[in-house]
Amino acid sequence: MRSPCRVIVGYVVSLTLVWGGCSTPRNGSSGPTFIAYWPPPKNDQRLRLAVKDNIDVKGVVTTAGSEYLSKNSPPAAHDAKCLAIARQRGVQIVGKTNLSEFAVAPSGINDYFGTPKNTYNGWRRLIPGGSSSGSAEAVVSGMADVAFGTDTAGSVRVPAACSGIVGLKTTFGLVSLKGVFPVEPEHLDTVGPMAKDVAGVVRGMDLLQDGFAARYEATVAAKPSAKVIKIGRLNLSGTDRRIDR
Amino acid sequence: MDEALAKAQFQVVALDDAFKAKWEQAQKDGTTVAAAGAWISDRGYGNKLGVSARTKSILVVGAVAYTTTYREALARRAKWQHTLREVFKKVDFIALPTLQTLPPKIPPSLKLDLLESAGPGYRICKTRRRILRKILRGPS
Repeated sequence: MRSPCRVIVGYVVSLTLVWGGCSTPRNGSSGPTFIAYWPPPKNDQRLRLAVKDNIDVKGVVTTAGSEYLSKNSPPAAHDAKCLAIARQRGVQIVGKTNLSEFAVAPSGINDYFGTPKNTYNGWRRLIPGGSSSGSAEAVVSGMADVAFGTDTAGSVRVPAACSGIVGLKTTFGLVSLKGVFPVEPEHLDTVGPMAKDVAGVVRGMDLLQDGFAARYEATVAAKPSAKVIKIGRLNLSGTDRRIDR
Repeated sequence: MDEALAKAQFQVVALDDAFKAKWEQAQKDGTTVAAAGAWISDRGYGNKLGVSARTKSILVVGAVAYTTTYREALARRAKWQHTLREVFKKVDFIALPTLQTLPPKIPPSLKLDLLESAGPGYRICKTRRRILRKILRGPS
């Protein structure tokens, strides 16, 4: 006969394990936003940077969002070159973010690691956009001040748009791709920053290109008013009128 | 978008249909080059266990793009860059929405519930449930 005491204990254990299973998935990461998460020390005032998991971080396996690579790749021997300034400035790298496998799908859905929630519109269960889905969510959730993503054909811009944050596809060739898992490195692959606002993106860009923030300030000072800036507006057919307006 | 531009008081000029047609062609070409590039870079993973069916199908699309439209797309690149240079003589920025529609919902078959929040998480939960069943079953 089943002891009532065992049932109660079992029930409590069950709740704990089920809850634990959902909030603490594999590798001790914090959820599908990150593939590996390293919480910063309390009261740490340093800039928190999340790095998409197709960018090498020394000593960590670069999974590129893939089960196959997570099980068959050795840890990266070196940091990707685009992390050099962040390392130099002692930025706190808080983890490696989830993405569409190999960074090739714009939905942000990942069948193996799970799909980051689009908390910007969480109740509607919208796609997070990809491939830098985890980078966008790391910023939205406040787990990172700045995130690095990669963009070949929209992989920074699409998740940024889906999540209501700012993302920049940098000029091809401006940021080194050494240590970045390739999609189309001959013409299109880029590394770019994502943040909650333009000021955050400028801070992120300054980690990718030394002196960027100063040049940005100078450019803004030269044209301080929108009235002197000419915008070419492109209206594409098929655009939702609510967006165009 | 138009409201935001007006509110910020930018000088806004509409770009013409000829440019729009070139933009749309360039966008198609960019997608072709990206898809083909994915196949060139990752084709070695196309038959590996542990690579998702979704990714494998994207690689197949890339293979098709590589054999059909890739070279033409690359060939149009220089002309497109020239077009852009000309436009930027007239305007400082080009503005258009990143997404032409609101983001879609996650398809129902992929909805994530409490126990299926992640592939590996699901497996962990299944294992744990097996253990729990043993605990709850009590002495046999």
